Amino acid sequence: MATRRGEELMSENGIIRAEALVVKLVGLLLGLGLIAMVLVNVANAMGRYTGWFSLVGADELLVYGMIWIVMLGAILAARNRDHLSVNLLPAAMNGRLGAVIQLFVDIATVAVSIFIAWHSFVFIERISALNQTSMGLGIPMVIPHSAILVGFIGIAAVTAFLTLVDIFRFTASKGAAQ
Amino acid sequence: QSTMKLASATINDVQHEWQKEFQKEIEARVGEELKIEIYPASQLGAIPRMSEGVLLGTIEAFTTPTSFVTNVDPRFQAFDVPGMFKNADEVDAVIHDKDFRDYLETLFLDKGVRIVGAIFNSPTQMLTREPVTTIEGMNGLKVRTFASPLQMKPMEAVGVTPTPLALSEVIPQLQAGGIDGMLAGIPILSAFKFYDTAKHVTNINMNQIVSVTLVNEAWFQSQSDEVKTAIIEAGRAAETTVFPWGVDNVERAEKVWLDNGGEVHMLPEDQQKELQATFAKAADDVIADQPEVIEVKDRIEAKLEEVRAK
Amino acid sequence: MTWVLGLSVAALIALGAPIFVALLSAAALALLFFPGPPLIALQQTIFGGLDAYALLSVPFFVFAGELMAISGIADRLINLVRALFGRVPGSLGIAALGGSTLIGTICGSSAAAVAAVGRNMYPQLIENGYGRTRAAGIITSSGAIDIVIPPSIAMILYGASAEQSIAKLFIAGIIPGIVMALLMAGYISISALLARIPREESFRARVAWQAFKQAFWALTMPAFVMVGIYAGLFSPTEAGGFACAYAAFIGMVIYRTVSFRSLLEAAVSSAMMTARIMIVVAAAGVISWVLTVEGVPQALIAATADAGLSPLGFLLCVNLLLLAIGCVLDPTSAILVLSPLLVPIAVSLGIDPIHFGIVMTVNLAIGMFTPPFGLNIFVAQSVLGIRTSEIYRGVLPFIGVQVSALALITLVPALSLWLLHGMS
Ligand code: NA
Ligand code: NA
Repeated sequence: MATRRGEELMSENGIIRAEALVVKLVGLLLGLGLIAMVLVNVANAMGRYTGWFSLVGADELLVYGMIWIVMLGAILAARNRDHLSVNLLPAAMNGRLGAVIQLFVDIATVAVSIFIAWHSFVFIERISALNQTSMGLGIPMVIPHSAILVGFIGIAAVTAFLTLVDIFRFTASKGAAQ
Repeated sequence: QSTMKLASATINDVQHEWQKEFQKEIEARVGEELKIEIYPASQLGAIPRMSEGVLLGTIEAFTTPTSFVTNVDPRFQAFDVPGMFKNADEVDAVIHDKDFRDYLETLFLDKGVRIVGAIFNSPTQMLTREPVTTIEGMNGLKVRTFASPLQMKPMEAVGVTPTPLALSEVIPQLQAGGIDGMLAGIPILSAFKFYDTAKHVTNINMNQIVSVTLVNEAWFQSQSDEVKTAIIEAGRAAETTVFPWGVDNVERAEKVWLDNGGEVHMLPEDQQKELQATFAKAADDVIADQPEVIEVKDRIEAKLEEVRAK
Repeated sequence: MTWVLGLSVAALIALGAPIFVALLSAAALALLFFPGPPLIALQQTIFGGLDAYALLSVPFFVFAGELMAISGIADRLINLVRALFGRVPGSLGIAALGGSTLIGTICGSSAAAVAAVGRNMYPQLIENGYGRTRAAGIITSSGAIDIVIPPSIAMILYGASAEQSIAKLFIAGIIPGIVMALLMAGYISISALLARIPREESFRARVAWQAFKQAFWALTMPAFVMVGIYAGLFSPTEAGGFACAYAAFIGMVIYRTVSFRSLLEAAVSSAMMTARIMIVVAAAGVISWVLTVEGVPQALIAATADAGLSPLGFLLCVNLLLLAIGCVLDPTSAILVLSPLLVPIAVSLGIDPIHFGIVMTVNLAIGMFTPPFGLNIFVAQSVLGIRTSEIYRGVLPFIGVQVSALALITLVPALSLWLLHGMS
């Protein structure tokens, strides 16, 4: 018995550590992405000012980079539950009511994210069938548009995961109280 | 009863005028059967969003210069070839020729869009901070262009450094001298009061801008036969009405430019010819490896020769 | 239609849902219950809300603000202000206001200014006895000045959709921006005096000189950015990127306070901040779009036009309308939708369209921090880590101050137009 419990803990820890590692890596990717954007921005302006070189499509690269950073960052923010929100009400409540409200908010988040992701998927499917490319870089428009799809799938997934963990804890604590 | 949202990036110009005429013509034909809603000035989103919108049917129609939809179909470039049309009358004679217009209407059906309006917009001119009166004067200037080879290569051929730049950055950069000028039609330059920032326009007549109205074909096909016919007829009727309006509009815009302290310069005649030849050669190089563009361009030029022969 | 949107947004926001979830739920419900455009338009409008070059100033200035904090640039600038003006009541609050105004001259985005100034000034304000509410109020409301002082994204959009000269709008915004800043400064100073917030000792030249020497490199940063913009080296949006690069240079090479590791950490947290701000911007864009295609603003404005108002009556009406709209919409989309509709009426009543543009911009700037919905409020809450209710309370007096500024700017067109006439 003792060893099985230990194994469970180990694998749980393994998952937690793996998840923490992924979160950290995505965070690093976003940071490096932002630094790269600063460099492209500076190079583009310098090239234009001196007239030495012209980075055609730099503006698109910067904006599409920003869109990807925003959507991946939004997944991490959902994971950390620190999206911008108004924290008026929940503070006044705690315990069971607070948990119920949190559950309701999480379900709304998952539902709306899946809804958006689905229509985003339909959109992307159709835009890819039309072979749309961007004006400056000439890359398929599927690449920047996919950021929205990935972002909302990710938000739905991490929120669903957090909700399940919450429900599990809630029932566990209720069980312990009885 | 269905609704047709007509979007465009500009307001109070020939595109907007065509949309208003189109609305009247539709009302006269089918009354309440089809409700037209006009959304000028990018109210439904930036240009790339409007062109995606009409492709996917989130908006029913989009009126735009052909140069903004070359990513929808490269064949739109055929209308932007510098040095091809000499003036507004040539544009009128080609795009409103019955045969050509029929050909144009269905040319992009494989992309899911139908052309229901084709109008002369204005010639592309060059705005600069300092006066430019010769080809040599263009040498080394940084001029804002679209990120499109058909604008960039011809400008490079006359010594200009083409500088694509987001529209929101143009005025501050012009003010500060980060760029020396930009390419645009004079109706745009006057409407946005660019004379407050840079005074000089050189009439390089690089190309004659053609604006088209794209309609989502799936939506079009879902309409009754009566409405379909009305859309096609109304589009062509509106074209005829607004052509003289558009030509006058260019003159009005030039007068506004001069009245507000702006100046308009012409190159000497021989240099203007040389400029057109240089542009045309550079443009030919750009589309050399795009047979589908050349095919449409040949079609336009065949019609042009017919017109010029008369 | 409007009620469905309003109620579902309000309910979800009140329950503490992420703002973007509340906004997108409302948009989704509206599109499901009032069928209009196909639902794939959701993807298009979310993407469209983010796909704008001028929005790059948000990540760049947030990052620049973070770098100013970790490199010590901000501390040295604040110390200099204290050495020079510490005796003036409310000097530190005015320094925060001054910081926002200074960022306003190089940046056109209000949320970025709140993030940058909040990150740098809030701890100092708390340490010096301002209290959380007051400090949050100052930071949240002073960010709004950024879109009135040129360059301004809101004015560029107004110019484009109302066919007005952006160059003239920029010039016309200078005095109104200064008026707003001065009224704010006056209020901060008087209220600090009344609240007996401790002052520094009297001015001493030697201390000031020391602080100046300490702050010399830090001072070159705003100078570098201003000179770069006005010399044409970079555009106002690109200025944000240069501000990051220059702050990183000072931090890593001159002060040696920033390591590559801390630079990367700053980048990560700035990227996260950007994500949290911009997803709200995108979702708000969806709401504006839904309202536009359903004809809501058009109907509101038609009602205003039919009322047969005098020019002054019209302006006051527009102010009320925009302040109300500013409570729920973000200014960029509001300007795009409303100005083509309002400007023709204004012009027909003999109101100068440049003056009108400034009135609209100031209105919507105030809307950035009026409860319940205001991007500056959410950004401040996130950067300062305090309760929304405290920010709501903090901004209340400043709404009063800035509405007075708005009244002044509305009633005295010369404030907007004088510099322009001086020019021609
Ligand atoms: Na500004
Ligand atoms: Na507000």
